[in-house]
Amino acid sequence: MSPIMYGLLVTLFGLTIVFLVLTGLWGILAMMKLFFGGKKAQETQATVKSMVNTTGSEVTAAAVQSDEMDADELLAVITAAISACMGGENNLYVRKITRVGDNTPVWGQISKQEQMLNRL
Amino acid sequence: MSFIYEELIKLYQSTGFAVITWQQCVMLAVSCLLIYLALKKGFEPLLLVPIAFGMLLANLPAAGLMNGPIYETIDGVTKMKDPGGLLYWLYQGVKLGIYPPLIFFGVGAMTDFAPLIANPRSILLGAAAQLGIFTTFMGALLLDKLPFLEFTLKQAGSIGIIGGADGPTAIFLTNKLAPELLGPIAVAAYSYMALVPLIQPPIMRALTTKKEREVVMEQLRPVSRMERIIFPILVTLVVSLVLPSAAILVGMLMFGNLIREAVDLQSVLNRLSKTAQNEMMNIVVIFLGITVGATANGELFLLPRTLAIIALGLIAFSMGTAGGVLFGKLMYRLTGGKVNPLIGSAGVSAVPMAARVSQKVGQEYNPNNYLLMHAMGPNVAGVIGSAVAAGVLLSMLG
Repeated sequence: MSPIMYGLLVTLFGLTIVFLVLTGLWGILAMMKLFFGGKKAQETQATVKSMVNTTGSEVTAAAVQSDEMDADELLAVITAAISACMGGENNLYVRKITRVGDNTPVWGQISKQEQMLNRL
Repeated sequence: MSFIYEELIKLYQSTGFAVITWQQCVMLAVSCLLIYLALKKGFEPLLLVPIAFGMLLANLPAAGLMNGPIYETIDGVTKMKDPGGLLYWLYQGVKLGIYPPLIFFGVGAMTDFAPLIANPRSILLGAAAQLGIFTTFMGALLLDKLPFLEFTLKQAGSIGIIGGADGPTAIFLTNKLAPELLGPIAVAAYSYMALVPLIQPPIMRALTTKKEREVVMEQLRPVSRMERIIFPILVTLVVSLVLPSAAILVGMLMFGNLIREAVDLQSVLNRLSKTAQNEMMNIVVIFLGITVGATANGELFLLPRTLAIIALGLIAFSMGTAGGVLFGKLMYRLTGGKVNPLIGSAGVSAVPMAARVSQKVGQEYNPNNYLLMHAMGPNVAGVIGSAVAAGVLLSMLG
């Protein structure tokens, strides 16, 4: 078989395989949504479903995974802080609050602390 | 007097000036130009600076930084006479295919696959954008009609992978199929990745209508923690079972991602995740960049085929972008206008640059349109797609 013909074969076969594999993944992701996506939605609604009213704002919180008594207060504080940052008068919906891990390298943390100490 | 003259001649002959070739001079100038572009113009400085400096080091006359060790056998005993240059030893990480999977590990730890999980159909855009790989592969084969240019099937496959817009994949595949082309292919792949904001927008505008570019997409659903954790395991299993040759790249990508996502369950994994994202990634990028640059030896680099590879690389990027956008248009039609075709161009990997380009072009036509997260879906799908395409090429041509 000539290189050009073999190249055509590789092209057709290659594109087909790429599409088949990724279409398979699409199907798996869709299945995953059915099994785990829906459950999560119910879970999050059950964990915390609080409505906090700030200055004319309607706030819905649905992802703080904590059973602490002051969860609502924490939500209110975070929402109020965001609202204040954005100018106060707005229709703010907080749909999810997730605690983010600190990914700063250790030397980055030290330099931040040094910066703060120098300013204090 | 003659003694001083002879000593001066000896001194001159021991310097690099006495043995420097015109090819080395050109490569030194090219490396300085690349350093300028990286530092002054901000073209992928993280990669281009090590590559350009590796190029500079490898083309220093008589320095021998890429020379291998020299052994000598005396009375039947083999001893190392000269250990060789530092870059030669660092290059073994490329030669043995160690650095690219480690880079994928770090990329996995830095990548959020949630936009793809939330909108799984966007994975097809990542597949469509691989069109660039295969059309360029054919283009390279057809070039043997021209005088002085002839690429073998393996070389054509390595050139085509530039269209995946994924540096580590290009290096990985080229090293397996056509190591003699590693220098030009790596330089072309990384240079075009830096030029994505210039290459893609004209193609995106040419292939879409104003109405299509203005489409505002629905907000993505939240993705559960369980989905995030199961995703890397499933992708590894499915891709590796279908295409074992892609297992190393996809497996390491997904391993990094699993560590990232599992931090929520086991906070102790945060140490591994941070190392993969920062220290390990940075060290491997330095080693990979400097040694890939060092493969751009003047005698081997300054050939007509390098120009051909650079031209084919541009075609590969353009075709990949066009493939993604055209498939985006098809999805726009099939979904009744719910998909903005501009996110298709992000299907070429180049994470997250290509997604940013989709966002930027979208906002030019509708300032309230936020396509970034929608474009991240095809963008990360492109990484998987190009690894799968590399696996196919490796299976069929290797």
